[in-house]
Amino acid sequence: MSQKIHRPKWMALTALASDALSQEGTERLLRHLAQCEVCEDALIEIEAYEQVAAEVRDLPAPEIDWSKMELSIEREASKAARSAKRREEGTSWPLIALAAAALLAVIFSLSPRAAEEEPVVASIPGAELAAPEHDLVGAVVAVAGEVVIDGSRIEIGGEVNGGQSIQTREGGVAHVRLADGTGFQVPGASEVQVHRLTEERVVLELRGGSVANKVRTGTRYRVDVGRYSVLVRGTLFRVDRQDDDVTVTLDEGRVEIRRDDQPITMLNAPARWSSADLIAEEVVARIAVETPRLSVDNPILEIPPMTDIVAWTVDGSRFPAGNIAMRLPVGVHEVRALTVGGEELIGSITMLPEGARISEDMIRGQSETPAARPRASVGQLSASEIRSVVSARNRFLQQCYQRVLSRSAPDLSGRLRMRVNVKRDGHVRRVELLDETHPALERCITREANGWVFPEPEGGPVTFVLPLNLRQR
Amino acid sequence: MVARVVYRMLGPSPEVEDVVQDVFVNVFRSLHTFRGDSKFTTWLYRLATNVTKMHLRKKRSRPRFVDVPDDRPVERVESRTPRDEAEQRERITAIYRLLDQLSEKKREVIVLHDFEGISAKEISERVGAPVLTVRTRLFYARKELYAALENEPVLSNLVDHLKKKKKTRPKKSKARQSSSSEFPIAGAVT
Repeated sequence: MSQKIHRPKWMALTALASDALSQEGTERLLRHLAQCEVCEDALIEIEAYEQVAAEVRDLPAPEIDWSKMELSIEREASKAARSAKRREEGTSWPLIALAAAALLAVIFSLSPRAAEEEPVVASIPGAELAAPEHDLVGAVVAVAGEVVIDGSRIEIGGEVNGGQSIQTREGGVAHVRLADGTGFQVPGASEVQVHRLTEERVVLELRGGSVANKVRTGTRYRVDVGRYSVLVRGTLFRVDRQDDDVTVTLDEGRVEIRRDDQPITMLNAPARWSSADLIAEEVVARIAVETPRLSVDNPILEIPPMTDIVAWTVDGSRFPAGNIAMRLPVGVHEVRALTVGGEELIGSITMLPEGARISEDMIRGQSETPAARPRASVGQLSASEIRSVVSARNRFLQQCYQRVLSRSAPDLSGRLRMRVNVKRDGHVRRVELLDETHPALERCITREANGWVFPEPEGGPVTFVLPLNLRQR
Repeated sequence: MVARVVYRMLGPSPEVEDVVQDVFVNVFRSLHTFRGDSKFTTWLYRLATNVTKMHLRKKRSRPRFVDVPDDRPVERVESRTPRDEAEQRERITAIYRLLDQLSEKKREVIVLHDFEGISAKEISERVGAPVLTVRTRLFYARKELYAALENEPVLSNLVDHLKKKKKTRPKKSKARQSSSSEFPIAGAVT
């Protein structure tokens, strides 16, 4: 007598793995799984596949050398032009060039880096040599501590011109914006000589310390440092100098390093190169250059020195404490203050058209800004308001936990802290887990919390940290 | 978008850049055939997938060499060790080897749905097939992949590892958790 073979319920199991089953269906299938070895093994295969698929999904698109694309299109365009000439048909060279230019614009608009930037005009080799250059004036858009240009102390809004030298004292920093998508940061104890500053070309010389740069694709940009030159093509990179040792850290894009005009190496991000060992290695460092976000037209945020605060982070850009001034767009910005004791105070600031100033009381939550001068605001939500929303959605968080317990981490327990940023209208702007946990749980909880809607916070956006206890019973 | 589509279709391969280049050369050659009936991105997407498929066909007919490892970091997370990254890279390479065994149509839906996260409806528009057909292809493609996992040692190890983890867990407690596990939330707000 033949024994009946139980076949795995693939359809239902796949639905379970992709959270597509109802609560009731999930429970029924879990009950079946508790007794069915075949289906349990099948579910594990599905989970293994899902895990690898998630790994593939998380892979960033590869960094493409767009200059190669540019070249191949140019080659194609000249081929087409030659054959058109041979045929002596109506198709004219300007039309083909126009098509090539349109396509190049498409390429750049599709490149992930260029997507956030201004459209780029494709350069015509040789033409720019003869073209006149147009002077560019850099704008100091953020200053912390003491920054000196050509011997005079500079304030926010100051200008940087070709031929000038920028010096920062220990603990200071200057952000200089040159154009959309292009700018540099001079951290403390550094000196940068600006040799050439035109719309067509930027040449900086690093005499000591560091300079971090963000360069829009298509800009000719060079940093000379001792006998080395770092030539850039649309990138995010930092150059450090200690005596004659030079280090280049590249976070995005590509740079070429030369010495006495002889090419030494081509770096593709992420990479670090040091003149000491002449070896380029792959690194995963993030260089914080937020300069391009700080526009000269934006209102000014002032942060005076405060007791116990050693550093500030505004929208991810870090500044040493002191007299800080920066230009920020109107709207809400995340502000973090790091205390001497290592505690991080988190809040948000609303930039108004007339500017904003952070006071000690505001950051410590002791009092509100005087109503007469509402230059900045930090919102408030009561604990009971938060609790009522979270309690109502608690069962969905439970489901997330339960799912991870039953599928991939049966022993998962502990405590999690979740930072939630609520917008002025009560919707969640951002959710971030402050503690590490199982990736599936993190995804599920974050997805759930992103959909929460709170009462509109008083006085503007609000950020709070919610502790979650993961406990099995 | 183009680089991403090509990369997802090909997997970790040093040929991604060449295929992307081919796509743009083809865009240049065929731009005049774009009539504006669909969105430009849809047209571009189709062209990119077709060029990639052609590349895969050519690749299948070529003698196979030992795979050149992709040295890019798979994920820039500080907590990952180089060993984790190497293992992950191996798993991804292995899954693409399994994809090579699927038919072109099945491979396409798997890549679009499971790797790119595109909905079945959108896939149906892109590949010009009914939604039901897309779902059916997806179902059978996944089934083939599940069955083939054991052919790749690195994926088979992963399955064994997950099985071991599951087996070490007492069944009774699982049944209880599914009905009564609790997720208490402390209400402290900072």
